[in-house]
Amino acid sequence: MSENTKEHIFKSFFKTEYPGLCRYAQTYLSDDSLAEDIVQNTFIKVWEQKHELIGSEQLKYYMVTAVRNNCISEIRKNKKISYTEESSYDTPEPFFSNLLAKEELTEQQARISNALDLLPPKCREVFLLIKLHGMSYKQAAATMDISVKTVENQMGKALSIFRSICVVCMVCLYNFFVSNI
Amino acid sequence: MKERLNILLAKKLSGEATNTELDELAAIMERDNSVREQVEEIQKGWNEIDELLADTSLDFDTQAAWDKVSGKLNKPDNYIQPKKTIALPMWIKASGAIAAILVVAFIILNINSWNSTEFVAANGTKTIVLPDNSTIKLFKGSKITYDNSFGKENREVSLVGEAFFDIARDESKPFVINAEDVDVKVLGTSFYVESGNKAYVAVVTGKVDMSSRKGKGKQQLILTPGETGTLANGSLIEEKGIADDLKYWKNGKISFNDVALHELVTRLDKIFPDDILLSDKLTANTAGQLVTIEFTRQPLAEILQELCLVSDCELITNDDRFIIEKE
Repeated sequence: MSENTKEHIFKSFFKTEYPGLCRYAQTYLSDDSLAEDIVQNTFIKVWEQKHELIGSEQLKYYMVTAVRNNCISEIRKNKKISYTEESSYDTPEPFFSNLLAKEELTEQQARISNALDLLPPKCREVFLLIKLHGMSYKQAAATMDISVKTVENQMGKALSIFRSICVVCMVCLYNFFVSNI
Repeated sequence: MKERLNILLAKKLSGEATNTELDELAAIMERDNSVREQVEEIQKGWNEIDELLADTSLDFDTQAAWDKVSGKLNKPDNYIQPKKTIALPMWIKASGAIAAILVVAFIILNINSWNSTEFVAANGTKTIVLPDNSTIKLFKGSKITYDNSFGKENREVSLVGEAFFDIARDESKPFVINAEDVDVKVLGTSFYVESGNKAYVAVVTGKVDMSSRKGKGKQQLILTPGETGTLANGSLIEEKGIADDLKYWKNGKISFNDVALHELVTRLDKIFPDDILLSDKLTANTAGQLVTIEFTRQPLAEILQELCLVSDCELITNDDRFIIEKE
């Protein structure tokens, strides 16, 4: 593959994946521009040190892992931001609601973003790798260095949180209809 | 029980459920009506999440980010330039005129071995003439480095990327190219080199000695006009093509006049490092059609796209293999 082709591939890869990767980095770092810096630097490092991956299917998977690792080391550097390895049930910050509040959300979308905020940290991580980055369970497990069984459980947990939201909706709708007859 | 259901449901929605698990899920839904009703809602919500996550991409200025990043790629600054600084010991500074002479002498003596010379073809093809009158056509994104001792005892350069060499003959000083994973040694000849762990050498005139610097397998090839050497998985492989076709690397042009498609593809396969194949699903008519076409130095993918347009075929890409397929 000529250098020319590689450049083109890298460029279109950047344009497609950049926003999603920044969004992903933001789930670790609350600082927007820091998230962008980290993602940009990761792209540069990949160009310089993992040149052979360009054009292969491995590239995307590698990028997500690299961004995640770079975010985590950034967090460890500035210990002000606390990062819990354990999935505890202390209320996580209302992260998604803040992000998505910038746009006009429908009621349904608002409900979903609230549900996303209810996800405990580890659960949210797994969920994003699979939903935002389209990873398989196996890839997500490898990225986070956990077992596939844990991934299955975390996804089940995420779903149960969404289901409880849905049930609430249905109950509300039911009440709405009943009271308007 | 409920946990199991959620796990199975999540797997199904993510496309990860095995057939056994799908059956298990179906059985649960059979037994429990309320679950069946909820599943549709959940499926919808699940898809909405995708849209929601995708939407938020509007927050980032991707173009600005790309401009920033691309400016930092392949920058000469990124390459490690050996910098030499002269530290003046205190006693030199203190001893006046004598010191001045000593310092000047010191500088003069050091200037020659100070830096190596480096050329980078950042924006397009660059032609370089070396002190011995050899010329190197350096293709975009490539870099040539050589010591200031070049031409005195030896003629040695380092290449990262791709270049076409036209080397002046000098039997007393063999010309050596360090192309990352291989070494290419010549007397006086013209040939194309691509460096790296998939290194490729194509000889137009003269004779070239190609040897691998790392790995196992065949260690050395002597290549004559019309021959190519490729480094694949650590081993060197030699192949024969047509010397005239290989002039493509020198002149940047290759033309075919009324050449059958299958022959054309074979000839292209011999001058490019990548595999180019004709699908065996093509009819004899299509494969045998006569093609007249000319290519100038373009990315291989472009060349093959043009060829496909002209011959009513379709190009399929697969890793490093290009397949000319039926339309």
